[in-house]
Amino acid sequence: MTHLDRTLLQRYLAGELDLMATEEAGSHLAVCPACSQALAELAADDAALAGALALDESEQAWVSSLDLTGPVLQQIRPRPVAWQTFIICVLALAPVVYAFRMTAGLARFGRPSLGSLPDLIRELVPALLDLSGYLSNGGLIPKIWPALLLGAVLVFRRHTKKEDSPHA
Amino acid sequence: MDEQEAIRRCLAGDADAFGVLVRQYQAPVLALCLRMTGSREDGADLAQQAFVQAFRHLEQYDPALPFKPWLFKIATNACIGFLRRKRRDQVPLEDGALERIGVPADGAPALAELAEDRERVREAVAELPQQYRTAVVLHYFQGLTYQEIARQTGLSIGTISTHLYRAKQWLKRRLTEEEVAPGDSSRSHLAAAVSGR
Repeated sequence: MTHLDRTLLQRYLAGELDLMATEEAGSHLAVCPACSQALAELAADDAALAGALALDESEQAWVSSLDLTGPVLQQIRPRPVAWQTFIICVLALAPVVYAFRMTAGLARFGRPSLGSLPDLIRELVPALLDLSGYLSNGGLIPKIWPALLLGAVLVFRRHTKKEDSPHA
Repeated sequence: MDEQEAIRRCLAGDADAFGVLVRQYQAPVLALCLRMTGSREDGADLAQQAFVQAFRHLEQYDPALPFKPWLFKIATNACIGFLRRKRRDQVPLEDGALERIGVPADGAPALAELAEDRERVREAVAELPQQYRTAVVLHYFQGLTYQEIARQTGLSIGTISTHLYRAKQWLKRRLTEEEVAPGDSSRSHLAAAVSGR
């Protein structure tokens, strides 16, 4: 008599065979003590393994005591821009305005000189708003603007990444 | 707030509503990650990572299907990725070791006897290669059917079945080696050891 393959017995035990294969296996098991015993051993093995892998008392207590809600919500909530990052972005933009003032943009604002730092800051917003017009005229800004913006973005991401760490 | 309402609110931009889902599923997700990694610290980190990833990919979730299997698939994938990265730093089982496993010798103790020491069983499971460990944990710990495991892992049912069979045989041999010579994992002539009992 040909005995049933052990992997097939395993699938029979798990109910993973199709209807015909299940019936054939069942018919064989009814007349083959060796395969029936093998099936019983597999069932005992499965039960033992499931029991060994089940959580014990200390693990159950640990799982029940841990609360992930706070750390998860902290990571997924939208974050307000940190003040440090805001200042870094402003400082990164300051050289852009400085370069803008040093080039042909001077004529647009009617100021032949650089002016003081407060002047630079005061003119930052209109300078940025008018940037598109200046870009079409060429000059220094098209060369350095992408690098400065990228640097500001990287600093921002590094700063926010530190807050994301679960061990922070 | 029920699960579907929480998901709706999350998709509408209310991140705090995700807390409902975290509280509901954190215990089983933690348990899965603990059993997959064998470490409480790693399990907690991966469980947290799984929830964050679930939130960030919530738009891909199909509300017509249950949320739990979708979440557990993310958690399982997170654990699998972790085990793959970890494997690079560890000495893996000899290539093809599990594939060469045959039927245990006559008289070999049943797994039911060997599994009485649960800690040894878990340590032995932790030594399994990632794909075998995944199948064992998902089937014997999570209680998933072969079909459900196949859906989660992308493997065929036949492969799942083979993985489980080989993993069990390897565990049987590993635990028998431990019983014959505790702490000595270099013994390879299992048949001789078993027949001498």
